[in-house]
Amino acid sequence: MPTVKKSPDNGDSTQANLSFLASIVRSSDDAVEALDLDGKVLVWNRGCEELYGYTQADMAGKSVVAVFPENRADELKSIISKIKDGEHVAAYVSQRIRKDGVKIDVAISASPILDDAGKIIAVSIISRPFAGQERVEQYASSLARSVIEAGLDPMITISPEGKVTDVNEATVHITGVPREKLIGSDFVRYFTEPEEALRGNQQVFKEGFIREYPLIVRHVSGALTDVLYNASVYKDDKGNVFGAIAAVRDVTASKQALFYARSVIEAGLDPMITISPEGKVTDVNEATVHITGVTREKLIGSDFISYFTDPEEALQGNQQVFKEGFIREYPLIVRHVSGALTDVLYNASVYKDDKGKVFGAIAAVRDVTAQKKVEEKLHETSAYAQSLVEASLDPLFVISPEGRITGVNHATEGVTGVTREWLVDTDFSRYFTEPHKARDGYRKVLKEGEVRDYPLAIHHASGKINDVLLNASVYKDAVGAVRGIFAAARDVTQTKQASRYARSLIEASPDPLVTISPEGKITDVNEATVRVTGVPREKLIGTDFLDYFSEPQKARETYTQVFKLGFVKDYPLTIRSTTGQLTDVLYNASVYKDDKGSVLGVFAAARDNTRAKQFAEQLETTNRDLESFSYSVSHDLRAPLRAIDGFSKILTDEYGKLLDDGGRKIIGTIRDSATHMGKLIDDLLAFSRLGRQQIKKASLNMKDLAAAVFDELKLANPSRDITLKLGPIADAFADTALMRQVWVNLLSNAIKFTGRQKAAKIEVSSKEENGFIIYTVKDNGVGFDMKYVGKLFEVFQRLHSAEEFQGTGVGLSILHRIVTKHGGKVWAEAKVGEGASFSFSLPSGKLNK
Amino acid sequence: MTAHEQTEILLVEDNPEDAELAMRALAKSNLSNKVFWVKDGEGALDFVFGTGAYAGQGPSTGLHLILLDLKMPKVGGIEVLRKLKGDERTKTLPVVVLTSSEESRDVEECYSLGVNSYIVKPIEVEKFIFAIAKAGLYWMVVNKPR
Repeated sequence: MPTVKKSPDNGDSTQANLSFLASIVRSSDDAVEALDLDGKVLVWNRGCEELYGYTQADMAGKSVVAVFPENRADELKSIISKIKDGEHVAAYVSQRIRKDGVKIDVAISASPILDDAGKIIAVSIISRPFAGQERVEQYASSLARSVIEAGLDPMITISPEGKVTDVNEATVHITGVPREKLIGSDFVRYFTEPEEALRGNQQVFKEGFIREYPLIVRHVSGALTDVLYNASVYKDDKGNVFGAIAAVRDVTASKQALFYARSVIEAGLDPMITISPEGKVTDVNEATVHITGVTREKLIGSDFISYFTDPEEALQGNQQVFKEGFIREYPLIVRHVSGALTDVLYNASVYKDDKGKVFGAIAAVRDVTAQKKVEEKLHETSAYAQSLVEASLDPLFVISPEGRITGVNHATEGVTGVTREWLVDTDFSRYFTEPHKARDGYRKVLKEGEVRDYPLAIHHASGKINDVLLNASVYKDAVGAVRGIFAAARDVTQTKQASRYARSLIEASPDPLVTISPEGKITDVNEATVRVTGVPREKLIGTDFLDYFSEPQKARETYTQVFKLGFVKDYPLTIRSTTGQLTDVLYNASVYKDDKGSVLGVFAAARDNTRAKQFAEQLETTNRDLESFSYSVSHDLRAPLRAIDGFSKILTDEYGKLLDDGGRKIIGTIRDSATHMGKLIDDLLAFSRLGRQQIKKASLNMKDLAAAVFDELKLANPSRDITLKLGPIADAFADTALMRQVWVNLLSNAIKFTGRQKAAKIEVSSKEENGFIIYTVKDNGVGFDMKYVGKLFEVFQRLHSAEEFQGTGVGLSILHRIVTKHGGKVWAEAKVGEGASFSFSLPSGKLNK
Repeated sequence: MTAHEQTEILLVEDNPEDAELAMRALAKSNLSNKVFWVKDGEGALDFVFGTGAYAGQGPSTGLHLILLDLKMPKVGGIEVLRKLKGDERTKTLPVVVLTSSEESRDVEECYSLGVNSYIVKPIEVEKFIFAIAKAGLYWMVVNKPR
């Protein structure tokens, strides 16, 4: 088939090429003509001159329709049309008119002529004469014979009556019927659908030909062959139909192949095309549409090379395919209609029918743009990557598909104790304590693509063993072939130790520890839990944790709470062991989650509260005992006191006459002592009671309380001139009874120590400072020496003698204790002879509420 | 008339000194000749109901006042009070508790048992004497007995 070669000088190549073509053609014996697409003669060789009688001069530039009989005018159009579509017109018999008017029979075949861009610019037609009926017959029969015999395809000649007149070997083969039987039989009977075959044949005789008519041939054995029936009539020069010559193309294999090709093609991510031997695209997949930007319909039938930036390269490649049967990784560039370019690697191979005839080529182009970029990038960053790899603390391995180490980093040298040079190209599994396990892991990676946290142990040359978790994945090349395995071995020796340590801590803990699943079942326990429940470990695990508490309902509440709030703190419960023993505990629990935040379970610790409970109970008992003790002590102590005092008085009253002043004074001393002791007892009792007392705070009007206490005290001292000045006094948030006592204390002291003043003046006021209220009682009494202020609030400490002022020395201690219990402070200031001021602070009620 | 029949005031007090002081106090109100002293709760109940040591003498019919200490050995004051106020024969008899106990629970209990008066023995002897003398005077003279 004439094609146009690239002209080395890039001149007006079309012209040059045509003249080249012309010279070839000129010398040929066959009638070869070249027409432009309008049918005008471009080339008219000697063979044409002889066949048609027209000289070149006659025909050049003129329409070739001149040689077509009137009834065949459309034939030219039809030929040109087919050629324009890129098709070839296979040999068929037709008629022409010579210059002298004689009609001749000719056998015609036509092909397209392409320019160097691949564009169809002309038609070439080769014609061969038929001469006369006899000769036609002869010719036909000899033509038929040779064509028929040579054909790989089953071929038959059929009479107008539909009988087989001749067959070839291939027909015998496809039908399984011997030649003698075939000849003379009805041709339709060898088809599964005789009707269809008949219709086809009728079409042949009606229209002169039939193309690619699908039928199924049945072999005598029953085997079926899908075929495409092609036939055309051959006639004598009067136009009488001699018969039809038919060729049946086996399409079973090719059908299957096509089918297969289709599915492979469509599924492919890579653009794939099938190319006819003539270089036309016969089929495409979606990826091809995508990479070219051309629709499927336009693609099919077009020249495949037209989508490459370098069609010549593409063509050469394709030629190689058809020549050698395949081509691999042939670099080309695909041009998208938008202009975008894609670097590709062209891979193709021919596909043949089962007789080995080349059907076409199937090609795939692999986009390497991305890969190219990656390679470039890799090149750039490989140094960086290399240093990252080296810097990694985890031992890294690169392992070939055969299991040999191809790459390591510094850490690998460290963990194995073997240098890089010795490591490379050795079997990777031999560095593990369990090589077969390492190999299993390796196989797993190859099979599943990756392996995570695969536990292994690497042994160091020195004998030391490191527990590791192997994480590995395959790495592939650009076409998806596995190149090897990349593995990192994370040292978990520390982690393992840490977790062993953690486990031993858990076991050693005296507190019972449990982990509970979200369903409330025990998942793990420690030794202490086994002990407190009396149930062995295996039996505990999987059971309901509520079973081990004396009040399961209460225990259930903790469970609800821990899931609601995330934790439970110091919840008192009682564990009941299998023997019935009860243990009071404080239950502490919290949820634990995985790193996605979903709750895995509850971790609980039960702190034995028995001791604490016991202590608390003991304390209460002690307090009660102390209370009744103090009570009875004071009662028992008072009675004799009363006796001392009482009988002393009787002595004075009834026997006083017998005593002199000295005697009476002695009795007075006895009585005073008794009274004093009584007071001491009272004060001590009050002081000790304070220690045990719970203070009950309430909002308290201090002004009214102070005033009331003062009034009472004043009543007890009717002869004295005492004035009370009440400034602003803030309310307190304190225990009423105790505050009363405070006022009694302070005011009676003030009254006492102003005893020597003619007019006693007492001032009470309060102020707020830094969240506290400070109350002050100021008097104009005797004061005290500030040197001794530190002793002021100690029990029994007095800064004045009994002669000066009565007192037990306990009063201020009681005051101090009360105020301290409220969270406040007491202090005093004085100047000897100028009075004293006592202050106490209480936390401001606003903050405390 | 026997002492038993004559007694108008029963003094129940385990402490002899306190008892003597009490007697002196009552003497101030000219009541001392009507007083009988028992040393403990058991003695008090026996005297009142004519049992035990006082069996054969019949229940004391002339009693107008019982001065009752609480803290006593064997049968304590509260127990005596309960028995007295629980018995039809004696429940209307005025009982004045005379005790050094200020404990609110004792006060509560005595009142809930129906005590007629609760006096805390003053520490100072004058006040002690004063209280008892006054109490005796009130219950025996001012108050109208049944």
